Amino acid sequence: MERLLIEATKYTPQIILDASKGLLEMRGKSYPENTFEFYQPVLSWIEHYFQDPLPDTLLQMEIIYFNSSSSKLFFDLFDLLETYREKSHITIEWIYDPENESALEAGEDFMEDFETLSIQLIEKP
Amino acid sequence: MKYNQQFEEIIQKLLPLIEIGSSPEILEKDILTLIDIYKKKDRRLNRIIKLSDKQQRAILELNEELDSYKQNLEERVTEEIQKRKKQEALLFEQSRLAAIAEMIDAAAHQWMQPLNILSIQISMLPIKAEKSNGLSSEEVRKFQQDASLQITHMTDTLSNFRTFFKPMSDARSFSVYKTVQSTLRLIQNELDRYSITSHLQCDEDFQILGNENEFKHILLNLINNAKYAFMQKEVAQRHITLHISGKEKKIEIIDNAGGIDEKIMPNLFRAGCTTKGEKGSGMGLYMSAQIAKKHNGQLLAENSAEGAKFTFILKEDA
Repeated sequence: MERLLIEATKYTPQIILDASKGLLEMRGKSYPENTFEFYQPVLSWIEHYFQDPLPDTLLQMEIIYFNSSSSKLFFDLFDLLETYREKSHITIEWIYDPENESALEAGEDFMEDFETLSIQLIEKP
Repeated sequence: MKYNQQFEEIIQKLLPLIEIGSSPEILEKDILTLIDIYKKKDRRLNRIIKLSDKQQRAILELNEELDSYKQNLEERVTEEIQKRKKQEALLFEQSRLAAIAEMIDAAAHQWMQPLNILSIQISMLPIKAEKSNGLSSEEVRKFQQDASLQITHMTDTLSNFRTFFKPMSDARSFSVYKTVQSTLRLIQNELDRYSITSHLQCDEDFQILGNENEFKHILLNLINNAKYAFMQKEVAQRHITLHISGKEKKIEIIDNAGGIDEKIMPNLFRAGCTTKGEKGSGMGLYMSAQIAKKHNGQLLAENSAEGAKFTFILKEDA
C-alpha cells in the first residue's frame, strides 16, 4: 500500500501515513479552508489500510492549534478507529506543548470520549 | 440538558404506543441506542463549542494585546521623531553658528581694507592741511567723497551679510545663477585672501523652490571646504569652478585641491565626519546634505583628476 504524504502549509498539518510501519503521523496546525475535503484522502487511506492492517498501529498527533471543524473531524476519525480496534492494536499518542493549554484539554476530551481507545497524552519535551 | 431530558421523556412515553413491525423490546433497545448516540453527539458538540469559544476569547485577547502594542509603538515613533527633529534642529543651529563665525571672520576681513583706507585718509588730513595752510573746499569735498565711498562699501558688505543671517521661513522659488553669484560676492575677499580664483559657468539657469539662504549655506560650506583643502596643500594655481547646468538641473563645484581621501568617502555625509581635526565639527557636509534633501535634491561627492567634485542635483520629480 502506498505511503500518503501531505506537506505542511501555513494552515494545514504535515501528514505521513506509512502502512509498512503501521505509523500514522499528523503534525502542525489544522485550519484548512475546507476541512472535510482536506482530510478526505486521509480517511480513505485509513479505511483502506484497515482492510489488512499490521498487528500494531500507532497514530501520532501533534496538532498545535485546530479549528472547530478539525475538532469535529478528529472525533469522526477516532470513531472510525474505534470500529477497527479488533483488527489491530491501535495506540494514539496525543502530543502537546505544556504551554498550550487548549491542546492538552482537547486530548483529555478525546480520552474521556473514547474509553475503548488507547489514547496517551504525551508532553512535548 | 433540558432538551435531552425532554427528548428522553417523550421517547419513553411513545415506546408503549409503537407496535409496528419489530417487537417492542427490540424497538426500545434501538431507541435507547439512538438516545445514547444523541447524547454522545451532544457532548461532543458542547466540547467543540467550548473549544471554539476559547479560541475566540484567545483571539480577542491577542487583538487587545496587539492594539496596545500598536498604540505603544505609535507613541514611541512619535516620541522618536520629535527627539530626532530636536536633534536635527540643534545640529543645524551648531552648523549655522559655525557658518556665522566664518562669515563674521570674512566680514571683518572685508572691512579691513576700507577701514585702512579711511584711517590713512583721516591721518593724511591734518598733514595736508598743515602743508597747504588749511584745506580748500575742493579738498574737503574730495575727502568726503572718498570717505563716503569706503563707508558705502562697508555698509553694502554689512547689508549682504545681514541678508545671509536673516531667517527665511517661507519657501520661494529662486534663481540658482543669482544665488551662486551672490554667494561668490560674499566670499570673494576670502578667496582673494587665499589666492583662489573662482570661475562661474552657466549653460542655462534654473529655479529651485526653497530657502535661498539655507541653500547658500551649501555653497559656502563647499567653497570653505575647498579653501581649507588649499590651505593644507601646495597648489600653484588654486581655482574653484562652479558649473550650473539648467538642462540637468545641477550645480557642480569643482576644485583642484587634490581631492578627498577615498577612505572617508563612504562616510563623508555622516554627522561627525571631519578631516579638519579639532577645527572641524563634522557637521558641515552632513547639514549640507540635509539641506539638499530639504530642497528636493541630492548632494554627491567624487574625486576628479585634480581635486574634489561636489554635485547638487535636483530630483527628477522636483
